[in-house]
Amino acid sequence: MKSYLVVFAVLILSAIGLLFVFNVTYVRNFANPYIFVQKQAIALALGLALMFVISRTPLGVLRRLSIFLLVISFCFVIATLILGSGDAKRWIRLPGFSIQPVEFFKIVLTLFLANVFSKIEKIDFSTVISFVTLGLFLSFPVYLQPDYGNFAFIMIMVIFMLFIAGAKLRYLLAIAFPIIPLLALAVITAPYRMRRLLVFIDPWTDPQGSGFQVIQSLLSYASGGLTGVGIGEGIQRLFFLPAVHNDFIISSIAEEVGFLGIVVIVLLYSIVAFVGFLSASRLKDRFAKLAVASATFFISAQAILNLLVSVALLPTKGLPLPFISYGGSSTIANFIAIGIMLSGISAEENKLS
Amino acid sequence: MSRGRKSKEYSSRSSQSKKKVGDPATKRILVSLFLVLAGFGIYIVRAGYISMFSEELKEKAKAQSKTTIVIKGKRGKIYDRNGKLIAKDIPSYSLWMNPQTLRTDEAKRKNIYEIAKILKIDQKEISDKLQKKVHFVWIKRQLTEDEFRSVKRIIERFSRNEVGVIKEWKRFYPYGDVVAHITGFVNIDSEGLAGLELYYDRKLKGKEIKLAVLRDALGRIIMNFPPDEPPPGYDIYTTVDIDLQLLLFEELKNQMQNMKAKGAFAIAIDPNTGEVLAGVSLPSFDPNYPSKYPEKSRQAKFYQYVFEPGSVFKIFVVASALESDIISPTDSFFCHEGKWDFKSITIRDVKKIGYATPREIVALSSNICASQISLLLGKERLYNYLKRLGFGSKTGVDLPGEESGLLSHFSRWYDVDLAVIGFGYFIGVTPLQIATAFSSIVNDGYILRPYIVSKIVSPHREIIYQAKPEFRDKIFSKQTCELMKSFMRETVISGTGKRAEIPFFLSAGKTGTSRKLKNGKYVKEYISSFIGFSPYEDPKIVLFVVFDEPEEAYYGGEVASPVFASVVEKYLSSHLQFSINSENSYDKSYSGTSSQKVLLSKFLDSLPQDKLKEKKVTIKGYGFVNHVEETEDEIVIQLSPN
Repeated sequence: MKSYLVVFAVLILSAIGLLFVFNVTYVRNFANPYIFVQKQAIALALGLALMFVISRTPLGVLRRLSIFLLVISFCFVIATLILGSGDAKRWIRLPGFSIQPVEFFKIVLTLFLANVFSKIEKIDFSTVISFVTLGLFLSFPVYLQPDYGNFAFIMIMVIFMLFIAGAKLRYLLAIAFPIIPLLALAVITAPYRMRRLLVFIDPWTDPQGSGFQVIQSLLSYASGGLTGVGIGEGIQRLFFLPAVHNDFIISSIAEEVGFLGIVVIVLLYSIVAFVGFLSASRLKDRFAKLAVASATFFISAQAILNLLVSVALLPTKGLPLPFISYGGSSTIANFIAIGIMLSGISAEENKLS
Repeated sequence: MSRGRKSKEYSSRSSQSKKKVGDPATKRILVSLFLVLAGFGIYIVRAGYISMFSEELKEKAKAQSKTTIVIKGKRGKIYDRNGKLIAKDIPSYSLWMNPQTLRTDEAKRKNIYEIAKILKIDQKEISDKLQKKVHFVWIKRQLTEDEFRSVKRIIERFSRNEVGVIKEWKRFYPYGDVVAHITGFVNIDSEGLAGLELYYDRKLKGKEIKLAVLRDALGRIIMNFPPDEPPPGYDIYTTVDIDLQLLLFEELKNQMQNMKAKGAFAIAIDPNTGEVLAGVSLPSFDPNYPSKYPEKSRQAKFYQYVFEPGSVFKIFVVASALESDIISPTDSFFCHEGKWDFKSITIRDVKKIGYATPREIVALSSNICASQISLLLGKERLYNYLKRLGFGSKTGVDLPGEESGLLSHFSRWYDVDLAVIGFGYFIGVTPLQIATAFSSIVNDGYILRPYIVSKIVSPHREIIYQAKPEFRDKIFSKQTCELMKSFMRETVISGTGKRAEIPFFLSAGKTGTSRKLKNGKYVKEYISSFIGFSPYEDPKIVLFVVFDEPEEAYYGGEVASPVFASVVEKYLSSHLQFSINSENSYDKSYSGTSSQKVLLSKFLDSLPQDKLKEKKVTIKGYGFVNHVEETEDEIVIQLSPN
């Protein structure tokens, strides 16, 4: 029952995603207006298949594989630094499509951490320090790509895992202190980050530059109002230069279906979060508990971060909106997370019956 | 040391709590759920506030949405039946400027005025545009290549944020006013406003893209150009024969001038398929510049004009009476010597006749006897035939704004109405309705839906629509049709339509002359018409020619028949082709009567048979064998009517 609810929510979100990926891309690519939607549909199909397979796989199997998968995906992330092209070395290009290894690395990392923490009975300060260090080490190649959004997300995942594994809040606060000078350093070394930060504080200081996307996003919400201007009627999508089909797709949705549409989407994500965390809380097996909780957080946190960026409550990060944004690797990774959730839920239900 | 102690403490505490509440992770997971839901909550509150309560953002969004422009893909082409282009898009250049950046700069303003001068734009219009508080305004849309070249030099003095050029497509109709009422025309935004352009607008039009005209804080324009051109629309192939159309247009125009007529219109269709071959409405307009012509000239009279047809209508009344066995071809009617008082009216004939058979009634066009046949048929029966023939309803041709004419229900007819319907009054028809109904007599009784688009082809050369003849009703038997055709042949041989005769092919038809009804009175202003078909033995074309208020003469036989004969003769002779296959029998596309076929085949038989097999045989012209030319690989047989 619970699994159906989650699958239902995810399918609706994917359908909305497909519709809007088409809606915002067909106005741009005329040689083949369906190219984005085709690629996204293929990713959805692959993701659904993987989700199904994983949901039928006992979590124990995934647990044993996690260290192996982590090493492989980490190698791929490093490979982007060598093989990747352009300014941002995030993709490995293959004929016809490209892979963003960090997306797979993220989900495998949560599985790995769930495995490790399930074996650690007590988490003292040294454990916290060592895992934060491990997190920094593993995410360093991502930082080099550079992909700060995912770098930050990986660190958030590590801290979240420490949190639910039972680390004292004091410890977690203690490691937060050095983050501030680190952030300052990051901003000083890369001036465009400074701009982003300033723009975040007041986007109107540079409406054509860094603040541009954020302002256009806010204008989209405003022109959408309660019920939106109608699907296919929006014009804001024309103003987003490159990122409307991934990072800022929610803004286009807000314009076309309005606040009511937004509420529906948030409700669907809430269903996933609700079912995922509640199931996790009831699981007896500690690994299963941590794995399901981290998979749930994996989806919800990305959603929240993306949504908050679109309303200018967080600085622009470049994180996709799960199941809705265009992006093959992230879509497949999200379905893997749902697969892990479903596997845990079915284990729980089997025990009850 | 101290760390070790501490951790011991914690671990003992945590194992204690573990006994009570189980895994501490459970609690933390529920806290996480709360935090995540709180995150969604914060987002919803913020999104709701921005969406609904932020007036300032709403204003800004509105202002921004005004600065988008639409760029359209190339519109599909329109072809005639032989693949000749009758409408296509040609490149044009549209010039825009940003008044915000130009207004304050004297030198730049001067340059703008210079451009305006070259492009012959009113000084005041330009200065008004310069005063506008917008960032984008057209200087002039759709400049020709020459105009563009003449101002290019000045444009280059501006930065690309001040004045710019956007390439657009402009519709071009190479035949000008000749096929204007079929193609219709488009507005400056390439939207179809009439004719095929309107009816097939959704197929013809290219993909549209909106361009965002952005501006920065200084009002500089940042144009968001598309990666490539938007894809074009679908091409349309029509059934129109542009050569016939040209011929018809010229001849109609000449005769209109000769006869000092107010207007003229004609429709040609293939009676076997319902294909519209040509349609002319005069006075015409040039679809390249539609606004320069009076609105009246845009009416496509061959399917949008409703009139009382007069005598051509007798064909349908007599055919209906024959079909329902009310009359027989040998019956004789008394025609009252040209004047018959029926109830409140007096019916007159041009030619005074005593007794007449249906054949003579048609050939000599007796109003008196036609109304007698109408009265014999009775209201209900005649109404039903006329209804089935398509009168009072649209033919369904694929052109916009078709008129359905006027056919009131028989329950509202008086006897007098029934009588005058017999010779084409008290009924409103369009030329296309007449031609469609007439075709049913020519093609052995079938009502076909007339159509003008034969296929639609996508930019990838896929055929997305292929028309085929659409039979709607079978009304007359072959027998009735043969009789009617022979009556109409008689019209041309010895009746009112002698001038419609076409040698070699032979023709048949019916003349029509009707008075116009003005302010409730029939006045001495006429509509003169002729409808006919040819070749007589193998009809390929039905042509209905109508002149509106001719002054020099007014009988249809005098005014319209000669145009019919001339156009159809030229059309058929240009299409006369014989092909000879290896078995040495020949196939014809168009040919004359049986006797002439025999003559030609006899001639071919007389030629050395081995030569015919070796060489390509081409037959040119029509009529009788004039001379034969033999080259190394071809035999050319030249025919001539005399």
